[in-house]
Amino acid sequence: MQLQIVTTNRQVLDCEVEEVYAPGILGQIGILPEHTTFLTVLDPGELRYRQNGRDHFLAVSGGVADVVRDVVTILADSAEPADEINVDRARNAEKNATSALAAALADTPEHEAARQALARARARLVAAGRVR
Amino acid sequence: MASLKAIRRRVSSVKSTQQITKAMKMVAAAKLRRAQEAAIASRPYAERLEHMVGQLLTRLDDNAALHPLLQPATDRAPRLILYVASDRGLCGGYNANLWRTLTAEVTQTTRRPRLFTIGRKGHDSAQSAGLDEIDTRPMPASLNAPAVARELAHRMEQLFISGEVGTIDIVYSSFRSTLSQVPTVERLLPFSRPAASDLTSQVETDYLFEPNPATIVGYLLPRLLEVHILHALLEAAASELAARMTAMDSATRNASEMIDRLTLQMNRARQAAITTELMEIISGAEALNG
Repeated sequence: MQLQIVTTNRQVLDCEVEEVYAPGILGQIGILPEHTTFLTVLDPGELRYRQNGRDHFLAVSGGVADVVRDVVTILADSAEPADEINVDRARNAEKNATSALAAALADTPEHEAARQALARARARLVAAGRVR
Repeated sequence: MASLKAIRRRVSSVKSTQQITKAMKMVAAAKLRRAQEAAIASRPYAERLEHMVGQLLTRLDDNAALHPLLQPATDRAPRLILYVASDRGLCGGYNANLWRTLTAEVTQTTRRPRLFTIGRKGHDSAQSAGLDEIDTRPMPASLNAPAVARELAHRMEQLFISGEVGTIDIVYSSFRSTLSQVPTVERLLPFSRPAASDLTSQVETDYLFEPNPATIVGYLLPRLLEVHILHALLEAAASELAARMTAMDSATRNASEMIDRLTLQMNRARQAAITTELMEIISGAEALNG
């Protein structure tokens, strides 16, 4: 099964994998070979794939996943391999987003932006935590 | 004939101009490489996104009801043109060529179109031509382009959905090669349904959409708009640099030619001065001998 991860400014990954777990909008989804043709929106979160029996982790900040004939294409707003994540920056972003979320009124665009920023920061921290 | 001193002064002034044009050419060339890389790097995402949207839309009936950005174009509201020019000049015919394309578009439209300009040169031309400019932004550096594209896409979406404008087009310079940049007009909104014949060959029958097509379309379409704008901005940035590089290269060459010509003149003037001096000495000596 082939996995391709593409962001707006680069192709992050294009390789053969055994399985993929992605943060679907309705909950975690697992994709194994021979999966049915499938298109879904992704939430910010941790993406895991297994290659040669080893697990690899990435933080994705939302996107779409498309599965056609054993080719998984993930178009993400951003995707960072766990070992490239700057933990201090992610922690800072989490702190800022938390205070922005507390300050914003519910149902305003600011509130929504802060909520998403928080989700992105948490996704990065979770993925980064896996390599330690 | 100009005096020897005057010619010398001109040669040195042309030389310093040449140094500047040469430096500008070099800077443009270095930046061009980076701009080209950015434009190329954004391609895989754009192609896949386009493909995905195409797959999705051919599978669904009654697209227009699915998302406001698929609403067919109306004649009731004016047309909006997003005009991408440069902030700075000294790039040959870059802005002039774009402007010609824009004025052709404007005269074709029966109703006065509105204009959203990118780049100071675009803003200046729009102002002096008295066009209906609703807003303007500076031309972003390629690093900033994604953020600017996102903001612009958001703005365009609002203008379109609110019905303030009926269609949105973008005029930008498409980058073919260092020597050729082509002013291009493209439709941004509304999205057109892809021709069925393009896609039928690869259409999968049983597609599972999660949670539902409308949500996915709602996620994909704004991004597609953003990617279209980003693509135009990156191509425009590369075109501008290429145009500047070519213009500065020919300016440098012209300066060389001018220096050669002036040097020749200068040598002639020096020769003439020496000849005159010799004649004076010889005739003085002859007079004493005689």
